[in-house]
Amino acid sequence: MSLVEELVLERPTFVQRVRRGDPLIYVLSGILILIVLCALFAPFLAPYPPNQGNILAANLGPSSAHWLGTDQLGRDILSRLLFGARLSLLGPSLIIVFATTFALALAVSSVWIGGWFDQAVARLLDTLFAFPGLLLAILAVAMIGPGLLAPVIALTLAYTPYIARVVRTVVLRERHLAYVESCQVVGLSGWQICFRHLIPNVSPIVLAQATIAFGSALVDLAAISYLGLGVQPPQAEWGLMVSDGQSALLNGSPWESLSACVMIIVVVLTVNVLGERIALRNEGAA
Amino acid sequence: MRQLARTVVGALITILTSSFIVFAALSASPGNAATILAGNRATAKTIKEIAHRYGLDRPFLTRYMHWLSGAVHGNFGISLQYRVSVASLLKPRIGSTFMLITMAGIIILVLGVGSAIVATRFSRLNMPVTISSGLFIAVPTFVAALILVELFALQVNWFPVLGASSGSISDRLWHLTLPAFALALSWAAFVAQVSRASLRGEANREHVQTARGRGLTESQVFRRHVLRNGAIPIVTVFGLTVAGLVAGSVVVEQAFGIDGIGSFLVQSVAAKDTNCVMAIALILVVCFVVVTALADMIYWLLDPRVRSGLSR
Amino acid sequence: MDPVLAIEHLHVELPVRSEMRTVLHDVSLTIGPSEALGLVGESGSGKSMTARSIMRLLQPGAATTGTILFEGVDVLSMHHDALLAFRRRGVAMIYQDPRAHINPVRTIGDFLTEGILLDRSVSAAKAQAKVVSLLDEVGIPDAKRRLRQYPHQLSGGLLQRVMIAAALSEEPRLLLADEPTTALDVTTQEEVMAILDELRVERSLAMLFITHDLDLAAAVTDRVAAMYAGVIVEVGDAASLHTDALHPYTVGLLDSRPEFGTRVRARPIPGRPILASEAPPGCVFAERCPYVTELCRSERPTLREVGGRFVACHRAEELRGTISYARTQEPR
Repeated sequence: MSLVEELVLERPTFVQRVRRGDPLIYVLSGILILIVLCALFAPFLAPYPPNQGNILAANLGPSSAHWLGTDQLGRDILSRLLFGARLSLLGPSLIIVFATTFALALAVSSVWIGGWFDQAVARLLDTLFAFPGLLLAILAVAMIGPGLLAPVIALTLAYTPYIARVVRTVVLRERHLAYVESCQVVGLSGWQICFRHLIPNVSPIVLAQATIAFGSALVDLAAISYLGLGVQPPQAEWGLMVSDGQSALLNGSPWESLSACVMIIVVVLTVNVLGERIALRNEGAA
Repeated sequence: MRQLARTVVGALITILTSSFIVFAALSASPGNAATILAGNRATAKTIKEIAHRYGLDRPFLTRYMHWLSGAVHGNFGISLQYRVSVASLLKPRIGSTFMLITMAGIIILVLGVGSAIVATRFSRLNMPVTISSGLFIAVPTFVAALILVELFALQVNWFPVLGASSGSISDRLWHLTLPAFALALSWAAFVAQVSRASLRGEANREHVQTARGRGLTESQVFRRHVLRNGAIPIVTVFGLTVAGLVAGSVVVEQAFGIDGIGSFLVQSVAAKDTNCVMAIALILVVCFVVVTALADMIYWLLDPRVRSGLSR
Repeated sequence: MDPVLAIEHLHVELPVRSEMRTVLHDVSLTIGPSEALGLVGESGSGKSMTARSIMRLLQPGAATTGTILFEGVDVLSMHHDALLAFRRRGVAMIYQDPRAHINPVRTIGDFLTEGILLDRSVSAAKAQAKVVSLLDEVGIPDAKRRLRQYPHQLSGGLLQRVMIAAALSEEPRLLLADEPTTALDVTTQEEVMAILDELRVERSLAMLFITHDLDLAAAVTDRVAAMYAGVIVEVGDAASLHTDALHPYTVGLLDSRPEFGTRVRARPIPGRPILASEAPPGCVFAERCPYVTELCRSERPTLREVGGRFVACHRAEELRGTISYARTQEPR
C-alpha cells in the first residue's frame, strides 16, 4: 500500500510549468508576437503612409527623418516595412493553417481507415511531398493571373502533402500504441478516439512541423513576389521590396533590399529555432 | 527486378497524369491563345481563322493528344509571344540552367555532406557546424543572391554582377559562380542538417559499438559503419534537393539576369505565353519525376532490406 | 595462477545532462583462466556497465576510478594501440540483441571476417576459410551460402550463433557474454547456451556471463556474483548458491522465483530495485532489507570472506542460514 502512495505523481500547476519551460521558446514567441503586433498596428506605428513618395528624396540613406532611408520612389522604407509585414505574414499564415488542417484530416483518416487506402495514400505522399511549391505557384499564376490568391492556393496544395507525410508517420505510431486498442475495446467510436486522443497526442509534433513550414511558406511567397508574379506594386511586401530595391542596390543604395532581406531572415530564423525547440521539448517529455 | 519495373511504371504514370493536369490547367486559362496570336487589332473573323489554322477549335482531348505526341518528339508548338517554335527558344537556354544546377549540386555535396561528415567525426566541430547550418538555412535564395552580389561583386569586385556570358567554358563558370553559391547556400545548410542527423543517429547504434569493441580504429568504424549506413537517407535527401534546386534556379536566374529556362518561364507567365509555359512545366515535371525515381533506385541499391521487400 | 581478469574497486560515473551520475559504486571481482563467472542482477544493477567498462566502451566524458587488470596489465591506463590490441585479440563480447548489434546493410560474411582482416597479413581466402569452419562449429550448415546473406534473412537464434562465431574468430582469452540468450525464445536459448558452453570449455576460455536468471547462471558457471545498485554484494561457488547464500538480497532473489508444482504465491522482495545513482550513503540494500540496523544505514559494507564465500554485509555471520522473507522482521 505504501508503495502506491510513494509513486503517486501530482500534476504540476500552471505557474510551475511556466517556470520549468524552455526560456528560449518564450523569448522567440515574444519576438514573433512583437512583429505581428507591429504589423497589426502599422498605421499607428509607421511615421509615413506607405505609398507616399517624393521623387526628389529618392534612394536616400538612413537619416533622422527616414530611419531606414527611402526607396527609388522616395517612399519611407521603415513605413513600407511595417505595412509590408501584413501581407508577408498573412499569406504564410493562411497557407499553413489550411495546409495543416487538410494534412491532419488526410493523415488521421488515412491511418484510421488503414489497409490498401493507407498504403495508396502513403505512396502518393511519398511522391508528392518533394514537389517544389514555388513551381506550382508559378503555374497557378499562369492559370489565374498575378496576385496573392493564386500563390496562396498553390502553396496550400503544395504544403499539404509535405505536412501530411510527417503527420501520418506520427499518427501511425500513435495509433498502434496499446491505449488506442483499449479505447476501442471500451467502445469509443472512431471519431471520439481520433479527436479526443490521437489528435491531442500528436499535436506537439504537428505544431513544431507547422511552425517550421511557416518559414518555408513565407520564403516561397516572398520569392513569388520577388519574381513579380505575386503581390503587385505599389503594395508593400518584403519580397517585392527586395526586387524593387535591386537596381538601387546595384547603384550603391542597398537600404531597401537589405532591410527587407533582414526582416525575412529574422522571421524565418525565429520560426525555425522555435519549431525545433517545440519538437525538442516534446521529445524530452516523451 | 520487379521493383525496378514498378518504379519505372510509376514514374511514367506520374508523368502522364501531370502532363494532363498541366495541359488542362493552362488551356483553360484566360487570354485565349488565338486572341493573343491574332494581335491587338484583330477582328472576330481573323481570330476564328487563326484558331482554325492552329487547331485551337478542336475538341479538348484531341488537342491534348496532339500536344502530348508532339512533346514526345520535342515539338511544343509555337510561342504565342515570339511566333517561333517553342523548342527553338528553349534550346539555347537549357545549357545555362543545366550548368547552374550542376555547379550548385557540387557545392551542396562538398559543403553540405562534407561539413556533416566532419562534424560527426570530429565532435569539437559539431557546434559551429550546427549553428552555421541553422543560420544559412534561414536565408532564402534570392536574399542570398543579393547579399552575395553586394559583398563579392560590388564591394570587392571579384565576380561579375550580371549575366551568364556565352564565351569560353571557364568564363561561363566564372559568371555562374556567385549564382551557383546563392542557389546552393540554403540547400547546403539543409543537406548538412539532415546528413548530420543521419550520421549521428547511426553513430549511436549498437552495431557501431560492436565494431568498436572488436578493435577497429575510429576512422575504420566511421567509414565502414557510420558512413555506409548513414549514406542512405542522405541520398534520399539529395533527390529532394535537386527538385528544389530546379525551383530555386528560377529565382537565381531572375536575380542575376541569367537567360535560362527559369527566367524564361517567368517571362512567359507574365506575357501569358501558355505554349511556352506548358512546355517548360512539362520539362520540369519530367526532370522532377526522373530525379525522384533515380533516388529511389539508388536507395534500393544501397539498402539490402528494401531489396527483400521489407519496408524502409 | 594469475587471474585473467581482476577488477578492483571499480567506480564509474556517467554524465547525464549536466551532472555526473554514479552507475558503479564499488565492483571487485576476479576470473581465473578457464573459469566462468556469472554476474547476476536485475535491470539497472550495473551488470552491462561492468562489461562495457572492461572494454572501455563507455560514453565520452565517463569518469572511471579503480583498476581492471587483464593478465596483469591495467586496461584503464592502456594507450591507444595497446587498447586496440586488447580489444582485438584479448577479449571478445557477445551482446544481448544480435539484430541490433550486427550491421544490417553488410553481409554476414563481412561481419565475420571484419575482425580477422584487421590483420593485413591475412588473405581474404584464408579469412573466409576460417570463418566457414567457425560457422560449422557453431552448428550453422551451408556456411558458404550464409556468408552471402544479410542479417535480416537469419533468425534470432542463428544470428546469435553468428555473433558467437565472430567473437571466437580472433581467439580471445576472455569472453564477455551480456545476456546472450535473453532475447531468444526458450528452445533456442537452450541450443545457443549449449553451443556457447561447449565451445568455451573446448577452448578453455575465461568467461563473464551476465544474466538476470539465477538458475541459468548457476547451471553454466563455476562461480556466481550477485549485483545490486552498482555494488557486488556476494560472490561464491555456483554449486552451493542455493543452499549457502549469505547476503539478504541473494536469498531474496532465490526465494522470489516462482515454484512449479505448488500453489504458493511468489514472494517478491518488498520495495523496488534502485539504480546505483539512487543509492543511500550506507548499504545499498538498506531500504529493502528486513535485517537492517543503524550501522547498515550509515556505513557501506565491503566484500569480505565469510565461510568460503565473499559477501558485503555487516551481519553476514550472525544471519547465516536464518534469512527468510516469509515474515517481516522488526528492524533492531
